Amino acid sequence: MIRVEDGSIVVKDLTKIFQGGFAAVDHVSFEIKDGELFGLLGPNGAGKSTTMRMLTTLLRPTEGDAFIGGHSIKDEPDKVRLLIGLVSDKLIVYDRLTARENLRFFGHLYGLGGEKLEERIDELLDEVDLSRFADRAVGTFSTGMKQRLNLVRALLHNPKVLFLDEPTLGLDPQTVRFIKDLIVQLHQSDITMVLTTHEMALAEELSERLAIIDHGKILAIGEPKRLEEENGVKNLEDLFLKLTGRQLRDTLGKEKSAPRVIRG
Amino acid sequence: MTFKKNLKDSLRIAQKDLLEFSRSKMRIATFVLMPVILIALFGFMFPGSGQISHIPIALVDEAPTGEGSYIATAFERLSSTSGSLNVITFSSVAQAKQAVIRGEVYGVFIVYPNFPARDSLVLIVDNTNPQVAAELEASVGSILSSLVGSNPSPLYVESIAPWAPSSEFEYMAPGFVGLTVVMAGMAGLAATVAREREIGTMDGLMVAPIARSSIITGKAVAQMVRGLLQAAIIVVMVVAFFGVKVYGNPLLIIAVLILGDLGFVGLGIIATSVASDQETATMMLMLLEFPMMFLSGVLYPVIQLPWWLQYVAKVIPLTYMVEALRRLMILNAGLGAIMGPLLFMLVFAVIAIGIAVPIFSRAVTR
Ligand SMILES: Nc1ncnc2c1ncn2[C@@H]1O[C@H](COP(=O)(O)OP(=O)(O)O)[C@@H](O)[C@H]1O
Ligand SMILES: [Mg+2]
Repeated sequence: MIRVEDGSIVVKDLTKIFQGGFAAVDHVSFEIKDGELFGLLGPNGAGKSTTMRMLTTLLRPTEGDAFIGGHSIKDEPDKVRLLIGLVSDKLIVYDRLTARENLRFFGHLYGLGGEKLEERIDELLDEVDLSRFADRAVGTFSTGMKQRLNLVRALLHNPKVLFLDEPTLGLDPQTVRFIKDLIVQLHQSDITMVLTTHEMALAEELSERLAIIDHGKILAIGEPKRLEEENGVKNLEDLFLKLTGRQLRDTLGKEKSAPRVIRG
Repeated sequence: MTFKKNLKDSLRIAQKDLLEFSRSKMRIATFVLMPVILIALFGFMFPGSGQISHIPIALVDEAPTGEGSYIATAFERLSSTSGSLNVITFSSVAQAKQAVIRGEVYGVFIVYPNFPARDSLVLIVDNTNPQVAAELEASVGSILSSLVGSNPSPLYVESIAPWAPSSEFEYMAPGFVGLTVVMAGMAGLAATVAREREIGTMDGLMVAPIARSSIITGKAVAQMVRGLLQAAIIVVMVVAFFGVKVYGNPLLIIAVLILGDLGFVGLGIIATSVASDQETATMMLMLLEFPMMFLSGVLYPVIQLPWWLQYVAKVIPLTYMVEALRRLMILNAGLGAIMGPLLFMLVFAVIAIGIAVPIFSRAVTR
């Protein structure tokens, strides 16, 4: 059986230098295989979100390139956009619209429509237990409900690659568990996933492979167990602290130079 | 193909924006109240009188020989020495009246051969500009009194638009229609773009396989629809409560509103792209809005401004839009009479949009 490897990611020398010459991501290279669940870990300000934003075509790299399903994020952003879905802690849902209207709107943007779209919406709402609230304004939802809706919003068009940037930030343990289960389920359906999180346990449990980055550079990359063994530590948290140090990260970078796109 | 897709995507976004808007009762209430209050307020208010000089006036001398032959030359001489009027000579009354409709002069002074009989001197004033009309009448009256005495006055005054009741409001209504549409286009658009960026939903639009230009076009369309609805509220109000008669082809009026709005939509996009947040963008636009409101002839005739502010008014695109609307809506002018302002609006729109779209695309992927 021939399998089309269209959920693969190849990152080559990806670099983002913000105004003022600050390199948030500094010549980063790695590969993610089709269907893999890849973790991206690092302290605050390490450059995780900047990497994610470049890979999702939201931010133009200063240097380097990346290929998703073989398509350059620089030269073929439209092809890339059809393949990917994005979930972050900033919820991409409109409060004034109902859950169904939200999904219908985004579905239309992906060229979906008609009966098929309505069926897909029903199916997805059911998947995240929101069917009962389909016709309620999203503004009345709890944060957890919104994030569940936001997740299926990203899945509407059956993306090959799903980017999850801190998807569990600020959520209650029930929702965190729900999202974790959903990620596991999606992983079984062969969708490629890139996940950033602060929760070491979650990353350790979910990621097949992961990279630890700091100051825009990759410090370690590989399977979690292998990395722990190689570094002589017993869990991911120890590995993380060993590699990135124990000092607090109270950088003023955001206030000084990043008023535009403020991301966690 | 691509164009059709982009257009469809734009309309989807416009529809979404309007749906969002329609869900907020507070916003709808504010939206309706804004023009209502504006009209109620200014409908009863009269702008203070200013010093108007050098009012352009057409002179038609129908009596080059005979008893009245000296009037025209003397009138011209006295006008220029007093500085109150700028006399432009026309060879026929019809041509001179066209000049009024085109906004080149504010009145026509005619000397008929039966001078000094009653009504042998006629002044036709542009009554849609009541303040200028009154000033014009006074200036002509005072020049004539020194020429021919004032009792009995041979001067007969009539209006260029006798159908229009002469009130300040007649003058202001088209200005408010233009101003409302422009404000919605400029500030409204900047606000919705900035809001989506701040709450993060802009990312959702940007990761979707649609053109950047569709996003901004869709949002602009939604704002224009809102602006036109508010303009409609104003028109209904001035017609129903203030006895203003609105002329002009409605489609032509809407076309002028849309064309005039485009450039301001562009300015709105530029402000949002350059500003770091919604508040900054709003403040930047306020800086533009206030002078515009007072200098572009919405409230006071441009000619009433000091000469140097008249030059400022002439570079404000809203001045041309309001001018075109006034001629269309009150003077019932045809397309030909508004070509000049239309051309200016077109140039402004092309430049502003031409700058705005690339700046926007760059700003959102920076
Ligand atoms: N638009 C921007 N302009 C300037 N600096 C930015 C911008 N976005 C992020 N940064 C800076 O880049 C660094 C990496 O940020 P980010 O990728 O968000 O980190 P994280 O790993 O926490 O997601 C931070 O120091 C941040 O302040
Ligand atoms: Mg982040």
